[in-house]
Amino acid sequence: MATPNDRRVVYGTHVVPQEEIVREEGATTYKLDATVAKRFGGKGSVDITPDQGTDYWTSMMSVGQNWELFDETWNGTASTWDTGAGEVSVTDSLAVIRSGSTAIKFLYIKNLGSVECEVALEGDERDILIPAGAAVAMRTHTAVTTATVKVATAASSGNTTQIEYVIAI
Amino acid sequence: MADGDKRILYKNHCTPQEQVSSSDRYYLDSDCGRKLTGSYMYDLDSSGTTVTNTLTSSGAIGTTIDFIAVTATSISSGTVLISLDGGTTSIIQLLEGECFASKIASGAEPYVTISGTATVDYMTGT
Repeated sequence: MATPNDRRVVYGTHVVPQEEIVREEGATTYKLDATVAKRFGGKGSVDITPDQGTDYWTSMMSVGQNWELFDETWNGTASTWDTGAGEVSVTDSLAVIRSGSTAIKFLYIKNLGSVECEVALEGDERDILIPAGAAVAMRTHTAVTTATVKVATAASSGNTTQIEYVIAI
Repeated sequence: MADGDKRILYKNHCTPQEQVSSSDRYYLDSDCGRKLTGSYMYDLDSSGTTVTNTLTSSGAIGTTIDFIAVTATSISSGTVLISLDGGTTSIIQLLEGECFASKIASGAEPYVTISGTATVDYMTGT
């Protein structure tokens, strides 16, 4: 199929800090954390390159995607042959997810497994942590390239997890 | 959990979209096919603390932090960048109204670089 005229990623973040209240009969409830005293959040739209060069820019396989037009090889590591799905296995060794060295404009990673996932965006410092079920989404700066985005579980843990991702140039 | 114990609920989501030709609307991207979202309830332990502050110039957010949320409240000029290594390598950019929130490693050193005129609000959980 032809490359679309344009591509973008609309993204958002929502944070609610809470603190517990124990009521008279022991029941608990939560209220907005008085120290922070507000919710955090925001939204944005990131213009990405219309021609991503490969279907590996996302782990997902759309239900509208034609098999014969799919870029990935049958034994590719970054997909499952199941429309609507998109799981990639991650081990305890830092691994690059998308090949090449092009600067990234947007990054989204969700941890689909049950153990914490760690992400390094520069060097091998696993600074970003993604607990089970959580996700990170960000407009990346120029220092982040396809070659610098690395994902793993805790070092030497022997654990594996699964992720879904969008790594857009 | 006990009276006063803290927790942080955070969600990150995104929707890849494509426009077939210049006069068209944007549709859900056909390579991805769906909206994506993840959420987590992060329970701080009984000694957990939260901090919030506002920056109008470059500065460190703190050290030995477990969670950060950073919002570019306003940007009149210049850029807002975030690094996790004390300001050496900026890896995230925020435009006005955008927010970054994540658990981070305790060894990370979140730092906000403001070039120009901007206001940045942040909160941390430890």
